[in-house]
Amino acid sequence: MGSNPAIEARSRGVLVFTIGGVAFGAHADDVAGLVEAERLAPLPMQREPLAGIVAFRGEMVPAFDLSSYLGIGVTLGQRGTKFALVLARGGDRFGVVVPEMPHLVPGTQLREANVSSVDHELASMIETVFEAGGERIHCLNYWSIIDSIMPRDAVPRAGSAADGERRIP
Amino acid sequence: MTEEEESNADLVSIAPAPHRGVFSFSVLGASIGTGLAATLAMLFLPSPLSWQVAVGLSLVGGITAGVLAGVPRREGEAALLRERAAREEERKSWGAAVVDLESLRRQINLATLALRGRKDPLVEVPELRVGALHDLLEASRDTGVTGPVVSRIAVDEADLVGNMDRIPGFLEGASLEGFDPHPPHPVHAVHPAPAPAPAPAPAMAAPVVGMDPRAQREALRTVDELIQALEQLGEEIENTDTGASAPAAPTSGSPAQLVDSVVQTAANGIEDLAAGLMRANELATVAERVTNRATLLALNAQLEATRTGGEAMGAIAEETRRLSEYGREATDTISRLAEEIEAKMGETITAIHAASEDAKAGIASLSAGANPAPAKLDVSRAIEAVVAALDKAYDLRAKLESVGAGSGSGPATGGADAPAAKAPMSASPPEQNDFAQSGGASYTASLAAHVAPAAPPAPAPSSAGASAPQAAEAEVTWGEPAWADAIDDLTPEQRAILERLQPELKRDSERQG
Repeated sequence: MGSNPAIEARSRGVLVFTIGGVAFGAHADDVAGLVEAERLAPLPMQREPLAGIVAFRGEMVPAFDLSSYLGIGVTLGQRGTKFALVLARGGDRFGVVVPEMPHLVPGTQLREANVSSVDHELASMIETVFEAGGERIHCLNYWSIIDSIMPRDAVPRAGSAADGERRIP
Repeated sequence: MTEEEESNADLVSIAPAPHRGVFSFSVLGASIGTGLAATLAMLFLPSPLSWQVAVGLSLVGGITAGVLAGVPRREGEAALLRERAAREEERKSWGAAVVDLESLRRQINLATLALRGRKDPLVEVPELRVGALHDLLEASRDTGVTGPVVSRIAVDEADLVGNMDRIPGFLEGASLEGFDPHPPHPVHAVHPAPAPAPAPAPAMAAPVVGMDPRAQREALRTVDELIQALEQLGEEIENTDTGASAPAAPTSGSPAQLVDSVVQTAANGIEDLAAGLMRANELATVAERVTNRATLLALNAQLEATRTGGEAMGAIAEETRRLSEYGREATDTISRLAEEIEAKMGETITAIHAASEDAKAGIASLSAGANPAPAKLDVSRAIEAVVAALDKAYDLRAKLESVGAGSGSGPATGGADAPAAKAPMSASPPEQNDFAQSGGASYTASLAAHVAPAAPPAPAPSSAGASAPQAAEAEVTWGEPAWADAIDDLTPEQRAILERLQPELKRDSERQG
């Protein structure tokens, strides 16, 4: 499998993190930013996998715990710090809490891979699988997961002030 | 002894026992003779002449016997009276001597107490302004320190002892050679009315008639105690003059105490290391936090650059990423060193404990006197082990210092000077072991070379401008500047210990070499 210019063009890179020994990725184009998730404000009547609210550049962004959603027990690092990838879709923001700090794999190093049999369990959630440095990176369709957790109409839109949504001043 | 006393002594020596005159043969002979003569007169002479002669002879015989019996009795009584008078005199002399001795002992005690309190006894104790010790104390105060104090005390001591010769027979068997019993400056008498002048030495040496041997021994013991007290007093005086009796500096103590001291020093060093390690861990936590923030910043910058495609943002993202990498390296280095220090600290504690036990065992066997040579060897080995343990401790301290230096300068100097900033984090051995380079290793090398000269000296890290062999050669000589520099780096306690150990180690070195 050689280099795929389409993929390279589409994905300038992937933020890679590991949960339970499986490497997951998020397209850099879809990630608005990365924050420490040390202090997650709990939501009323919050249920798993929702993790709470994180503050991201002055906005309140709801976040969910991916490992909890996938049902994978994780061991946090020495200091127990979690990180939140803030995904952006238009004016929507949603956080994905991951147990370790992701690292960026440039698009030039990515090779498209087929979904193996191991990945069948995740098939419905997987958007793309890349291979980089002998590692299989599973890029999930996070927005579909978010929609399954929280219906789109219920997702607070933390977009611009013109949208009339709630925004932290 | 006067002439009259000599004649009295002769009389005493030949005097009969108190009842000798009553039962003498002369009285018996006179009685028997006159009785026989009276009987013969009764038998052979006619009456009444025989009766008259017999009565006359009896009277003569009785008178003669009475005279013969009475003269010796009187002589015995006179001798008895003389002897009683002599004993009375002797008793008085004894009593005065004992009083003198007690007085002198009291004065010595007072003078000793005053001197120990660093006071002038002649000022503080009025009792000493007159008396046997006055001249001695005054002389020691006036002439100062000089050595003859003790010898002068010895002479005065002889004077004092000479003054005690009124005690009959108290110096029997003692040699007075070299002592002048009549010094040019006679010692003041303790009492205003001293006993008669002392007899010459031969008379003193002669046993006194009627002197109880137990009393003689008692007198000798008393004088011995007196001499000891005088010696002590002399030392006090000498120490006072030289200022040596000031609060004594801690002495070197026994070898076991030295080992304990070394171990205690090492334990203190370990405590310092533990405190430093805790501080290093705190620094590592802070550094990790800073690194995480920097990494997050780099990632966010990269994401922004990826999204916008701006070159400026890309450059910022790249530099930020490098900065975070340096921070990560520093954090990793600190964590690794902290782990190493912790592990080595455990080894050091174990080594010090084992060395201490070995040293104590060696010293114990040395003290017991059994097989001294191996015991000495054990002590040397134990000291060597203690030194090695100390070396480890210093190595740990040097590493800890390098950790502190690295955490302080690493991430802060990032940016364009990244390689230069990275250098301290690489923790190359010479930079890491500044203490060992400057003092710790040279001190241990010197010590090890003298503890066990046969073994090659510990490798010393090469210093700038000097090759390693040259440095090692300079370090194995006592008193060389390298050793002096090493001494300068030690704490005062360590320095004191090494100074105490130095002569012993040097002797060992000379003996073995």
